Amino acid sequence: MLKQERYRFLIQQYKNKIYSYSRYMLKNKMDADDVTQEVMIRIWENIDKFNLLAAKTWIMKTTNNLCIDYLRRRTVVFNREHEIDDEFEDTFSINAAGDNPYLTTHMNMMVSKVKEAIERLPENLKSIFVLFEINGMKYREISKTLDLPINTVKVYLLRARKKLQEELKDYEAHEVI
Amino acid sequence: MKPTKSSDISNKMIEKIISVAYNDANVFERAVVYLASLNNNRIKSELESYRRTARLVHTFSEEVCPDKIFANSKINNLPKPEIRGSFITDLFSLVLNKPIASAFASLTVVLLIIATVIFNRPVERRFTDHEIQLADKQTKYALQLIGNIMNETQQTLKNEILTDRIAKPIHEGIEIVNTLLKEK
Repeated sequence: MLKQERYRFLIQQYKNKIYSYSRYMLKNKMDADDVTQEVMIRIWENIDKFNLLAAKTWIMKTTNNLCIDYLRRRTVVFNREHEIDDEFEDTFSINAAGDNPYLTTHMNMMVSKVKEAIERLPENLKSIFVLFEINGMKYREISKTLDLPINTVKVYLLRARKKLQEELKDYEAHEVI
Repeated sequence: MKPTKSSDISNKMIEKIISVAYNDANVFERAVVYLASLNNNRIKSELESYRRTARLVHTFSEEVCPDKIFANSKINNLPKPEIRGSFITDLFSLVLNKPIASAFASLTVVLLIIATVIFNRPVERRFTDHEIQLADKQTKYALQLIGNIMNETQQTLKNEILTDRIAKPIHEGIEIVNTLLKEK
């Protein structure tokens, strides 16, 4: 009974983090679905082996490892990376642009550009960037999740931000937010 | 070293600008960047540029995990997350999401219990010999008083109430009855 409650709690708490991270890392909805399901199975199988307080890093580490496996396997001819789904941009709060259609369109374009730029980041920088900026994890948690020293995490995050800015440089010249 | 976008800005300054733009910087770094941006337009434009990106990035929320994932045969047999959390789930969330608050609340409850136990314990007072003798004297005096009152009450009852108020009227009544019987 308690096992089920623990599992339910963990899934409720981390399902979006798992899914979100997989989506950014794999750039593909179907693979993200698969990874999310796989992580859920592993959580259920290992629910008695980890402490609830340490669950976050364990879950994100498992998610990261599975994403890496998927990326390694993805050398097939069919490149699903360009199958960028329409829903991916829907989670952005369009309300920020109010009811102004021009601003809404402009914001959507910017969001799309930034998401694409994030997706183009090298894997090592992207994982840290997504964990920090999107999943809201702290340096220490990321360090444990990815088995990296905290200083390396900080340096990679800085590089990721710089790289993202460079990616957006050309587009930015025309934009007004 | 790879040249930066603005060649007149040092890498350290770029790092500070990024930290300020993404709200990671401390007060000192903020002050340094703001002061530098007042005198240097390139720093100002870099800061603005990074800020725009940071603002956009900060609007991104986590992708919502679709419910159809739980319907898949791979995980169909596993417990499904509830839409409305149970008490245990809520308790877990409370403890794990706000560990400091929960620890503080638990500590407060424990301290309150300990304080209640300590302060409600019967007080063990130790009396001096003088106090004991005085109390003994006062007790004896009080008992003597009570004894005297009891004796007086007994005497009054015996001499005044029983004799005068009860025995005498009964005696008179009986005499009257006897007189009446003799006359007949």
